Amino acid sequence: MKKETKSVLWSIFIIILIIRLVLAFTTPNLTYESYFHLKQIEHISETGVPLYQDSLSYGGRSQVFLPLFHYLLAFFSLFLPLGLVAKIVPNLLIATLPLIIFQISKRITKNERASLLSAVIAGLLPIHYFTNALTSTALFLPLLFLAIYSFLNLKKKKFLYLYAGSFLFMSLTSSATLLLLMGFGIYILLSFIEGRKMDRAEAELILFSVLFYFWIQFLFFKNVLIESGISIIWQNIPPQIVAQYFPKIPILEAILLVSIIPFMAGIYVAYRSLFQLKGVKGQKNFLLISLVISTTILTWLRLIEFKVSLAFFGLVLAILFATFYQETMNYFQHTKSKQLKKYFFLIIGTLLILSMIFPAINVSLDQKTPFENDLEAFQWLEKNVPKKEGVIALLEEGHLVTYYGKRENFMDDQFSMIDNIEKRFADLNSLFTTKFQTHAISLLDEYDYKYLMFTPLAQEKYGIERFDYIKGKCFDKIYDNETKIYLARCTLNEEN
Amino acid sequence: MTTKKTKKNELKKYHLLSTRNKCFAHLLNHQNKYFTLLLTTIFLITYASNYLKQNLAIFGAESYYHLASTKGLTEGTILIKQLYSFVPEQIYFLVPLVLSFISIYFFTNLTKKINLPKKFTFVYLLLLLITPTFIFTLTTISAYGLYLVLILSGFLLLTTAKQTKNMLIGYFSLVPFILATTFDLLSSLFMIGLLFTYLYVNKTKQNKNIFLVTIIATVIGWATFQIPFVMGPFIEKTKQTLLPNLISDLGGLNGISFFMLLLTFIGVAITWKRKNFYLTYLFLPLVTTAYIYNVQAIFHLTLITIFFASFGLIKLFEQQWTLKELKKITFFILCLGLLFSTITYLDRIDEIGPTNIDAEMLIWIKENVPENKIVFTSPSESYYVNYFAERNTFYSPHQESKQLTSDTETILDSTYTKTTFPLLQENNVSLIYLTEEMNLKLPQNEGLLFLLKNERFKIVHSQNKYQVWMYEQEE
Repeated sequence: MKKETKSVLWSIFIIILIIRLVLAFTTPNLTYESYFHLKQIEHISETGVPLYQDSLSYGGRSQVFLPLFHYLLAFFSLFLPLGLVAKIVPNLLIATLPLIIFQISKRITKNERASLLSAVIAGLLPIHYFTNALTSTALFLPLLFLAIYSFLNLKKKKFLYLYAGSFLFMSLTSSATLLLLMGFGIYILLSFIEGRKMDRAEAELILFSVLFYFWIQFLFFKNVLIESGISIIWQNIPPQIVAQYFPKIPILEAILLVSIIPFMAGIYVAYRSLFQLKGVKGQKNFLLISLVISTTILTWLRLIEFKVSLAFFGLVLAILFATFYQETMNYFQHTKSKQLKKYFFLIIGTLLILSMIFPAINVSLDQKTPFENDLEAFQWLEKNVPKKEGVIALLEEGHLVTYYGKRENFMDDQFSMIDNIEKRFADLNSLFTTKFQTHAISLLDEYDYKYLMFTPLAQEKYGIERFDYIKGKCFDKIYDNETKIYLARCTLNEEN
Repeated sequence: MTTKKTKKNELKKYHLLSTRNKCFAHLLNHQNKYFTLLLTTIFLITYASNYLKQNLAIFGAESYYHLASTKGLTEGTILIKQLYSFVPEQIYFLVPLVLSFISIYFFTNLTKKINLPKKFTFVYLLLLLITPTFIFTLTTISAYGLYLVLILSGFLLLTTAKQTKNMLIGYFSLVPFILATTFDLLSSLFMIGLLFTYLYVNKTKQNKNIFLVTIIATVIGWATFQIPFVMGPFIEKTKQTLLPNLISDLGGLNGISFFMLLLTFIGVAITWKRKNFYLTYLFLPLVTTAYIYNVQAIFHLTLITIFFASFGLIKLFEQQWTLKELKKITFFILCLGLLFSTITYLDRIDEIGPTNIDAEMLIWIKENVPENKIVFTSPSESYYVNYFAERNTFYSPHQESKQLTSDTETILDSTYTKTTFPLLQENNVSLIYLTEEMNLKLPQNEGLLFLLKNERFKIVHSQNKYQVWMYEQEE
């Protein structure tokens, strides 16, 4: 690599990291789902093991997840406060993506300038700008692309070890690793259709990956599999909110999240690779295109979250953009407009930055995070609500009840292995929307909860000012700020 | 010289399923001892886990379906009925053990006689023995356990006849072959398929005659005795789902390991264009269709899938790998994956039942309730009721009656006396037997458990969460 390219690449990394950190620290707190991971990290740093038996979530339940990400952050929390680690480490991990994407693009195109553009796209993809989200995707994506890079360089022995290592860590980070395996499957199929003989080393590595992945999944999810069977892959998400996890986002919005220029270029390159280019030229992008197809299928089957698939899709587009750039340059070489070649890099680079940076910042500023005021209310729970009592709050706020309030929640977004999830979710909604006090009290009786929280988020979500049924002597307002907490005094059950 | 030696050592290092590998060679040479040990271990674990969980040594619904047939409460199969009427009740649990050892002995002898490669025999038998379907079949009183002994003995006699050139021994094989046609049509067709394959390789007049007589026996058995296409099922409708019963890791009662299924696909892919395997492919549509029709056909499906899986495993690890370092790791993971399924299954075997309390409760019914009373319970419990209580039940899974299935669901789910009582009345149900599982799984405030609060029901016997309720019939 040229010295000049090296310094540009590192500059991209540093600039992206700074932008991400500034945005992360500008927005207060973390996104709602992050508090689950925060709780797990804290538990690991205190006890050394993840909290698989959570006595507070859903009033006590078992849950299993892949813990590598949490262990990594727990390790960093030995040296830095957890609050800082939660903001710095995920952003640092995502910021490494341009470095890996650069290497993959360079491997495919052998063109450093084109690869630098890919790195810029990878660094500025709006879908990656949930800067305050503490989720395992932050570790999963760099590992996934590291594995892809190693797979492309399999002929060198050191990359075999790199692949094995990254695949091992990836399998311990997220079940979405399946998309790589599915991509391999489609890669084999495409190679077969094209009449290309599969490289033996590739076949061996794919076999190893399949066996290893499933072994790890079986090890971790043994009990869930036996109990829930194949439905484990749909995570027991209540049907009412399935659309939230696997949304039908309008195509235009989805394109904006992966940015329009890389999207158009990616489509063009994929078309050329599949239908126009023959031989080695066309095969270069086979693996990446296979991965895109696999992501599409898995998203369509609702096997991976839409956000993850879009994030992955965006990065593949970034790599394909390098091929587009290279082909355009070759085209200019053969036309009279050779002068254009000189400025094309600058023009396209500027266009990319301008078209991506604003949507990226916008995504970051639009993140839904709790306000300080809300957090104070959740912290208040710990000191003022008896230990054995549970608190009803929104599904999104479930982790705040357990993390800050240290009290049992009614629901949170970890749905697996929970019985009657659909009814529970419907009942939670009823508690916020019913107009009838008897209905609300019967639900509180049924689940044995007495405390209710009404936050600004609930106000926004249901478009209500307060609980309609709270009047008379049955409910006491015990916390009154922007967030309100009520204690139910009445019951429909016979008193003992 | 040194380089050659290093290369040789290097090669040895990566040979896994080859006689160059000392460990593997040792296992091949002493396979009989190791299989005996493995089978003993499986039986010991099964007995021990059932004992520790206070379960009975004989477990599984099918076992009690056959045992109840000795008391005339289920149809059963002629052979098992006869076999168990000779055996004292105290040693019933030993019969599966004896049959299993005989099967292993016959199988290893047979493979020697037909010159099947030692390596293939070893891998096939090993994979078979660690597969949940087989563990379940061998450790319970199962028709297919006996069927296996019969067809193995038949082929053993055929091959012995070929070796000794004694025609009489050959014709003796007709006895086990004809007896094996008394179970179900699928098993008969499967056996005819095997005989056809044998005939294809050894085209003698005697073999042709045996083949024809077996076909005639099958047709007669099917037309005259109305033997079913597939025996069973012995589990209730809601548990007869295809995937969990195929892949044991998904919580089925038996099935094969997910890794075994992967190996099967590899095996099929490798053998796809090989002429020698054309006949084997004929079995695939038969067993797959049968499995879709009735999950009980998992036994036959397992026999075939493991055949391909063994071939896949051998071919995969016999050849040189480009990434030599990866070969051992992949093999190791595969072994762990296969063992994982077996261990997980053995860990769950004590959940199958019945428990000692089941037996105690049902014997109480036998001793205290008039004989003509019909018992309503969960369909999978019905065979335990038949055997221990010696009473008829409302519905048993093998009856496969849509009406009774729907009525059972109605009784379990309905909260209305207007719906449930007429059903109990019409079917002369006087007793309701609730197990711990039913008490935990059925909703408390609706359905049958809610209805039991009605004055027409009286609890007459209970222990822990097991209950016997008497339903007062209207005059």
